[in-house]
Amino acid sequence: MKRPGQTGIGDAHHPGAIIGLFLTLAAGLCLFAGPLHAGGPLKIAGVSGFNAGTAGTPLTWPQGAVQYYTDQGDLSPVLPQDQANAFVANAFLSWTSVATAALSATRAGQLDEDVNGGNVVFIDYGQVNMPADIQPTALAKPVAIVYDLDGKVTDALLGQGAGAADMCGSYAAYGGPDNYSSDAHLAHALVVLNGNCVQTSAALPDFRYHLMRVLGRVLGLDWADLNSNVFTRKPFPTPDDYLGFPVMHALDPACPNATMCVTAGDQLKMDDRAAISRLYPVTSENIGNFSGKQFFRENTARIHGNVYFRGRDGLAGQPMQGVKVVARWIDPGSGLPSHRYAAASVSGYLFRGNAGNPATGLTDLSGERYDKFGSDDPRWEGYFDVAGLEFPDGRATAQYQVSVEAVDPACADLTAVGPYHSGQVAPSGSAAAITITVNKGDDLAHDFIMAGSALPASESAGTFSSPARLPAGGNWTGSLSPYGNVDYYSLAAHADRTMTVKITALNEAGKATQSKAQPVIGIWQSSAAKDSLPDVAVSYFNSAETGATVLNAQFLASGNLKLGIADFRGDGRPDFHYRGRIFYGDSVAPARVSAQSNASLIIRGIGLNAATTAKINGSDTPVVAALPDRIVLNAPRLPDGVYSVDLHALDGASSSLLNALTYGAVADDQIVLLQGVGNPAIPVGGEAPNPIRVRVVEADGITPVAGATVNFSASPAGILFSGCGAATCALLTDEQGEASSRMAPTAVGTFTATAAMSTSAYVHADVTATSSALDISALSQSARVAQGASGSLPLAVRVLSNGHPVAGRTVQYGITQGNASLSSTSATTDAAGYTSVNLILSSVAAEVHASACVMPAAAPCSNFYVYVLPAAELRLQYVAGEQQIINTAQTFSPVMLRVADSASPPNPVRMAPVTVLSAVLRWQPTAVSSGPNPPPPPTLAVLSSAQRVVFSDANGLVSILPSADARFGAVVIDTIAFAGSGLPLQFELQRLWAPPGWVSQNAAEKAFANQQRQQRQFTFSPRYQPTD
Amino acid sequence: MSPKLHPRALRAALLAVGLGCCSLAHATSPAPLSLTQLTRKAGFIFAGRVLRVERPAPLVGRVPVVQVTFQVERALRGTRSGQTFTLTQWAGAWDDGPQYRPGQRLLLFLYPRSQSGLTSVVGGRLGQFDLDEGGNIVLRGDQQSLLGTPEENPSARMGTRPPTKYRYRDFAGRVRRGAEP
Repeated sequence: MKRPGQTGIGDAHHPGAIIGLFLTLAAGLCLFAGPLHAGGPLKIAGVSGFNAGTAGTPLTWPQGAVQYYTDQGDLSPVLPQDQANAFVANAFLSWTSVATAALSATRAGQLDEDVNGGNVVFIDYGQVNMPADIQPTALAKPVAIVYDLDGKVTDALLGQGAGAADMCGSYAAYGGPDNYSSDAHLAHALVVLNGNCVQTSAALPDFRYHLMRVLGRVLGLDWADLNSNVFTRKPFPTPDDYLGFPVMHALDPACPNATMCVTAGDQLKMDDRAAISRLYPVTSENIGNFSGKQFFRENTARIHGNVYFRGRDGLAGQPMQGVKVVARWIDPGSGLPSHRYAAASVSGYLFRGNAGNPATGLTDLSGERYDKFGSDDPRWEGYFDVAGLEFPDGRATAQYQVSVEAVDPACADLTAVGPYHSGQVAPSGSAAAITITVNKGDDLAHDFIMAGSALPASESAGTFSSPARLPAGGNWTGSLSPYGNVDYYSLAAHADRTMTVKITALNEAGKATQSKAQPVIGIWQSSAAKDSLPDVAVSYFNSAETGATVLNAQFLASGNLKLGIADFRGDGRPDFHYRGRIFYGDSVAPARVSAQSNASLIIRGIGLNAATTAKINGSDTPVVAALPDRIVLNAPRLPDGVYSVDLHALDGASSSLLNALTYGAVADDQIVLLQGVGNPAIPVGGEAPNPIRVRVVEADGITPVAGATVNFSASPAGILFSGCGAATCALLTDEQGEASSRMAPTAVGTFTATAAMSTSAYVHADVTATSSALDISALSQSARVAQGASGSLPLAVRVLSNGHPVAGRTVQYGITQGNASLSSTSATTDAAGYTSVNLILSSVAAEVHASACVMPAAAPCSNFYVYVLPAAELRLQYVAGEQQIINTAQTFSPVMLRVADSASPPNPVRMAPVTVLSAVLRWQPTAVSSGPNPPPPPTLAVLSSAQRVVFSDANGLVSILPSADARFGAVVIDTIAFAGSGLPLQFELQRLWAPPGWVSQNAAEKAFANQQRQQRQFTFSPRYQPTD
Repeated sequence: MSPKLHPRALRAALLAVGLGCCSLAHATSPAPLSLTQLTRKAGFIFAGRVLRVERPAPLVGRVPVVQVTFQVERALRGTRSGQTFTLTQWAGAWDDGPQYRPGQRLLLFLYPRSQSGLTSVVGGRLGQFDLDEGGNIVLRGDQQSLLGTPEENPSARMGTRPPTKYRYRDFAGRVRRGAEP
């Protein structure tokens, strides 16, 4: 009766299968010439470190003859030296007595000493000396057996207490090969036996079990993985599982004692016998040296072949390494696969499991190339060989079920099985088990194409010489396939920036995993030579996140780079998928802001989005809006200085723009005195005709510095600065880099007014104050107005006597030049000595002078000067607010412009008409140009437009409050402003969609947001337009 | 009708077959390692991140060693949180022993340093635990027996399998209890 999943040569129900298998077997018999001596070898010669032509050869002892040397001391009370020697010989005998293994082990003599804690000694911290004839270089004594009587040798080598009796589960016996010959043979091995683990005769079987395992390694056997359900209990183990549990299983049984758990634990099982026979087969060439033994091939059966991924055509694709192929005898009594008589082979065991990679290197810590072990011949990449199949019931024919299974993931590092040592790779897809009938001497081939396995990548990223362009947005998926594939991407980075690159290994379902690729990351200069090591690299899974490898790099210089992604082992398979992510802030604009402006900062970079959080000098900085290639921040208010912008993503990625943002002034900036010298002596309590006016510029002497803090003071402290109404005053420069203050001396004398950015950057202006019995001082003595302007401006004076205000005095005003009128020709001073009248201008055409005299003597007098500027001399200057970017939950601040004349330095002009044209456009994302045919730019959609005229105030300022209907959502407001016939100023403001979850920062914004929300309920505008 | 064996009884019988035949002959063999034993054997217990791995050039006649430097994140014994700790290990054991890589996060039980200054993971690989992204301790298959004994894990007494993942706090609590006399 046929069981599900079975096929067989004699299965009459599946003629197609019969023919197919027949062809496969025939091909295997006639054409396949794979190595017989294979399956479970510990080491395979690679392409370096061994003679040419030996790659792919399992390392064995020459002619199967092992010579070992034993310690001169005793092992334990129950195993004094002679008995210990006999015990070791007996353990060797278990291996050498395998009938089909051409293997012998001879005790060739003694070591030169009793190895003990006295001659494994401390030299210096971390340096230990031990006898020369047990070291790897002692080739004359190829196998050294150390009897560690009291565990002191083990203590010295492994740590205090490691040699104690309670550690016998781990270190009863340990060691293995530690030197190899260039002709692909084992050259030296060391075995340490811990006497503390064999203090009584009852301990002998378990100790023997541990010794046999170590001897298996010494003979060149790898660990095995079969009947792991002994550990996993899935399915619950049967007695046959224990009886077939190999001595060489990678993991010790999880029970009080190995031989307690496993029946005949110290007896070789079929998998052990098959493995040692594959390494040392008895053949016609060597049987003369091994009398009484049997030919391996003739007395067993062999099934070999390859495991493949499926190709896109459904046929065999790339060979699949690291899959366990298990052959289980079909017990004729039960008709079920036996777990007692079984053998396994891991596909690709002859192929290299680690060739190194260009990112973290091709050599291990000792400088030895990874490709020293394992063939580079792709024929062996998916090759398996289950030779040594026995005929347990003594018949000449047997049936074996052959299945493809995953290697236990726990079999890694210390307990690795097969070619993948740094972690097993989960198989991709599956293959149905088959049943094959074999006769003694059969050598059958069968290939497995894994159904549902990952398909080969349809495209690959760039090469080292021609790296691919990094996908926009900084998020992408890729594959490391075929074998040896490395993905390279070009990348441009800025000095003093940090970047996070995260590569997450994915399985076929797109889930993060640690059982597929082991991604490593490297970054090279774009000019780096091929095969050079990267400037920075990280090894796989260095992050706490499952499957993720994270590289955090800081760039010391700007330039173009190459990003390389590889598998740690240099592997590449169709199921090695990954998710790439780059998080990088490249630039901040503007790079310099006013200390108090709440400026909009545009951070351009890669992988930034609405979920990005930002800090400047530790202050949380809200992300106002996010676009695919940039985010917008609201700069916090900070003192003058240079700051870093720190960006963080939800997934832990981070990027810093180090010292990228300047607030106000910095050390190299210069301060220039524009006005304030040449003031005449003025009465105490009056105002100097020329204010103190400075400009802060960058080190180039030209570029104005906005937002720099300028501190005004006087020495001695006898000046009142009108900017603050105090003796000291801190003012911020405007966008022209200017700050100014009128000065009113409060005492008689000469005062040095200082405008300082720092203790080393300052300018001076002297002011002299006098006093007399009667003084008059004009405030804002001169003014500039636009030609043709109409309006009024105050003519204010202060009357003083010996520095004290004079109240109740009449001041007589008069026009002394030009056409204008006065609101009144006289006025009376108030308690503070002040009084004023308005000068009324009507379509003023030329300069106007006026006078103010203290009555009744009409003396002293002070004059006013109104200069008239023709349209051709008017200029517009930015003062603040023209670079705003807000979101739909916020409102614009006014844009401030100044009308000035063409003098140097320019003076503000009053009453100048400024024409403002504005258009509200629908916001549209910037088209990303790529390839030879970039998409056409989006069509502009004008939602509204307006034109108006505003007039400059007493300081020459005009205020423009941008606005756009809330229903329009995200908009761009383009504005052109011009005064007179000077060049217009053009600026663009943006209102972008608020990020999801935006929380307004103040009550006004919250109220506005609520209002907008209500309005939107009645419109068709989208509530939220994704921008990334 | 043939008599049916209750599944639990069958499992018990099979286990007896697997264990019983050898238990008499090897009754004096050492017990398997438990977390308590790991704890008592260890001179250093900490969770940390691998900073670097170095293999100093071997000197003639000397035992080759590997040095692994850790940033100690959580210390339980023999070291302090925040400090760096260097594990100097025999390269002979290293060649077949646990592999470390920079960035790797582990919880380690290490023997006290021998007079030679060398140490290694207690119990071979048993004393090296993986940490997941939440800092939880993840047990490999071969480590589950460490907490599988009835005295280590109450769930074992009830016949259920112990969990494969432990919160650090819980695991550290077990370690501390294991250190008590």
